[in-house]
Amino acid sequence: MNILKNKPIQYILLGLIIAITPFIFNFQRGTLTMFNTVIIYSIVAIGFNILLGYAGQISLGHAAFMGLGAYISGYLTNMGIPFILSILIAGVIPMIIGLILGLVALRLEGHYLAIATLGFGVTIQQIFKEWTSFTNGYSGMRGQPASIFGFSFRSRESFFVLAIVILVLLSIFAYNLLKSKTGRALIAMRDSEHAAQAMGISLLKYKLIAFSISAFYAGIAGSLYIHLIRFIEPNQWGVELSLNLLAMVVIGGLASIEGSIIGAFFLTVIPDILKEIPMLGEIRNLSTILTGVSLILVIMFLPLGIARINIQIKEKLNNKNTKKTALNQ
Amino acid sequence: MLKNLKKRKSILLVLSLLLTLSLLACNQEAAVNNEAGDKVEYAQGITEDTIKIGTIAVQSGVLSFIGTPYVAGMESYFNMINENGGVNGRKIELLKKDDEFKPDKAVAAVESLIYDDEVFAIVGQLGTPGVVAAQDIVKEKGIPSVYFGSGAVSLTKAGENFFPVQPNYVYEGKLMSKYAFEEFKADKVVVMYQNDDVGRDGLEGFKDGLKELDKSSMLPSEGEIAFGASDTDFTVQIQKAKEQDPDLIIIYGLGGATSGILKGMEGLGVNKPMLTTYSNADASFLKMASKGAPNVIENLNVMGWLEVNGESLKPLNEAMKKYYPDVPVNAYTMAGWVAGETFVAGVKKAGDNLTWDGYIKAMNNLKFTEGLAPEISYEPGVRQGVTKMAVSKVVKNNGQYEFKVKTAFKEFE
Amino acid sequence: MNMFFQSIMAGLETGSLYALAALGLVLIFRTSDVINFAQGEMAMFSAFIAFKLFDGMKLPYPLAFLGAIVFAILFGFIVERVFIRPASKASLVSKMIITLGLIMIVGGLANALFGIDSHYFRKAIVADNMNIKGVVIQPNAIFIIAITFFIMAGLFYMINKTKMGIAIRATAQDENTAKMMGIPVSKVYSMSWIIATILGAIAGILIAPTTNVSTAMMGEVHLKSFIAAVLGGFGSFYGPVVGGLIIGVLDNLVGMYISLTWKTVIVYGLLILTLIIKPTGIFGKTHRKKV
Repeated sequence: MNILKNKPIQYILLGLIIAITPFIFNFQRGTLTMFNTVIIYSIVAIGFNILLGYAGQISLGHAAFMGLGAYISGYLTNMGIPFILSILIAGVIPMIIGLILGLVALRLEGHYLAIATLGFGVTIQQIFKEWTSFTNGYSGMRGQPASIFGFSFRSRESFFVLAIVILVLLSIFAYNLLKSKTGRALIAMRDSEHAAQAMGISLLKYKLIAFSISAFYAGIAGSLYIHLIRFIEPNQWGVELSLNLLAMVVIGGLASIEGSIIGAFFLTVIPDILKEIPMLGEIRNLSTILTGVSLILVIMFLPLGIARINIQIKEKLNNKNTKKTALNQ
Repeated sequence: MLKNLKKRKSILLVLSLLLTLSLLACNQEAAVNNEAGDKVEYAQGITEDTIKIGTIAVQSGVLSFIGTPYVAGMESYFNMINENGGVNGRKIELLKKDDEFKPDKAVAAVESLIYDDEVFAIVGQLGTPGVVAAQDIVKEKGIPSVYFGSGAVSLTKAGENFFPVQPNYVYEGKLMSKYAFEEFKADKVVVMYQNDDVGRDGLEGFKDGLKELDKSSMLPSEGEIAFGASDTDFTVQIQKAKEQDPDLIIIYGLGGATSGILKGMEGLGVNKPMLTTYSNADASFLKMASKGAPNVIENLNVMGWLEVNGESLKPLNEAMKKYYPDVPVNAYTMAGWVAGETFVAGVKKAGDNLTWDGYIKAMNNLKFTEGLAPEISYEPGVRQGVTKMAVSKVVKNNGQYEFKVKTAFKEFE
Repeated sequence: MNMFFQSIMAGLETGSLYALAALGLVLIFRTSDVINFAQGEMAMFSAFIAFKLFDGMKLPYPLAFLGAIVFAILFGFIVERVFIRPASKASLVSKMIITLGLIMIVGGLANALFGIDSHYFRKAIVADNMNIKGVVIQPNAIFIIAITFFIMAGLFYMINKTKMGIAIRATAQDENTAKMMGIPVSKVYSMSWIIATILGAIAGILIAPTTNVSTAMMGEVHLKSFIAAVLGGFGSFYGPVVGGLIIGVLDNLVGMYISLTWKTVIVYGLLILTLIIKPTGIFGKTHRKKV
């Protein structure tokens, strides 16, 4: 039974189970498309969580990396370069650009970093709009279905398997990374930069690592996005998406791989579920209001994120118990 | 040998008998089914007394100012039709999906309409990103998709099951060049364009048109002036336009920015004839824009593809008052209304032949002239949508501003 | 040369609007360390109230203005009590998410209550334009610039010279110590949210003639006000004002003399550059972090 306690094995098993569900249950096609986007956002969220939850660095410009990955992958596959190669390049180039943000972060922190990265995101988005020979500007870029060795991931079910495989691989990578020396250094840096420096941890090195890895995840997710939806345009990669990524990670749980996935699920699916409730759909914008309310409720009652729900409930119960015993005494 | 032949003959006889019988049976079955309402013969979404269709439009968030009146216009039309007994006895059931103007949500919405809700047709999908993203899925399935709330040019070549109606921006820009030359007698024009798909397409069309008319010198390169859709300050753009001293200023942008530019012109005292896109051809835009620019507004002309007057708008206004009293009646409402009209015109023409093929065939010979648009027609392989447009001018009438048509409906040949 | 001065003039006007919107942000940030992403939506809501009072109930403009401010007092109070205070122990990013949720709630409510149409709202000062050697100067623009400086000075005075200001500063520095010194910390938070909401309302009402009153009216201004605050520095009240003016003017000059299409890229590029050189903003003091 020990083997089941091994996280990577858990990820693989869970991934397997989730990947085959569409083949067992007959999901509606629209729903399956939505689940596919959940997986894609989960990948960005995991990368973002490494940055925010583990390394303690904020970014409000990560949508730009996802967009960049999408454009690169779309552009390359449209030129006839195989999907496998394209998705890798779509991860690597944002990773290199992520280094720039890492350098910026070396001089900025907290809210200033937040706004500088926000400015960075808006700038990149603006470049998407203007650099028409690469992105096709506002008219948008069309994408091909993903295909590996001649097998085309056209159907939603097969794409789901592909996306899950990549998600599991990247989750395991994240897990191993965070358990390694690098991960411990990141956490030390988050808890106190000065203390970390005193221990001989190079802030430069680890900030660069954190930003470039998270950008890599975003780029990969962007690549998957364009091969699933097969169309992108510049307006998608703006502040709204960046803020949504932030919300995913915080709602799901900072410094938690599972939390990233839960957060992505929450922010993608909840608004749609709210819209589907017949009564709510008729009242204008009620679904938006309720999504906002649900965000706030989660933050207030589960400040550590949905992923840590059991710990938080236990803690609350314990608190009550200690209060009771204190009263009895 | 003979025996064999006899055997064969008898087999043949039996076979042909069976065949005729089965054919007869089939025929009978068909007849029976027509009465009983079998789904096999009709396309998905059709029953004996309903037609299920779907639409996708943004209905929440910042952009809901587009989608809400649009869907309200469409739904009012269907409500009106249903109240009068439906189309050939069938009531129209409209399923609405909100895609938040996002391509991924639009794709999921189109898929669930086609595959899960099994609608007969998609009517009036709104928003270029979503429309373009879903194009492949719609084409692959072959489901009729009628009217797009989008000025994307690609729709005219998307396939036989696509029926775009409203003019695309490239075409409109082209037509504007003709009017600039013929109607405004301009020698020099400035195009202020919204720096996105709307304005850029319009500018491109305008330049194409000038080229075809051999008038490219009319628009110098300094006369192409970009502005952002969400800009708040247009001083620089207006000054640049003024510096050119043009005979006509074309403002290719949507309502918000256009009204901002008009306000800026009022402030800086620029008085030149102006021409703007059909997207701004509605009373609520005029009401909003005229208050901030009471003098300049009288220089404004708009393109129009709908015959908008008290008489033609009466059914729309009445239906909106009845079903959606709190939603404004503007260009988006009219667009939604025309989407409904176009779809229903096709259904009427198709009669009981409500298969996708039957509907597409009917639409292929459509020449619909009873609606808000002067004429909506298609031919096999031709999907231009509306091509005839007219110019209206803003006039003051009893202290109220209104549009007055000043040219005939023309097209760019 | 006329075009140059005209662009500067317009830049100062828009810059003042950014600055006005930024002042509320900075006040909240300085007292409670929250970046209020919903500041723009809240301003929009208050502007709608003013518009409804003026256009719907036909109140005179000054009364409508006043009515919106009274509403803002209530609004700021409620938002702080209901949404911010219960989460006072939450982390900084959690508070950001709360204000994100607020955007959805306030924006959605506005949409449901006020409808989706845009409306023209009159200027505060309606008078004939002045023309100085070919440069058009609008009295309303002068009014907006003046009121921005007036509010900036007022805030400066309040923070530095009044008891309330001392309480705010003490709370901002260290909440626990402030409590021990007998400062009613929760009152201070409440006050700063109320003042910030009032500032938002004023900004919204003054911006309305430019952008029209609609649920989307604050989008661009709100984003730019963030940038203004960061560029100038969150540490002072004159920083954001100068930041706002710089952005307003720079936007126009780049558009005028370099490129209208690449303007945004250039302006944001300069912003990032400035931050890299001077990470706490132009007027920000380099603060030392506690170990």
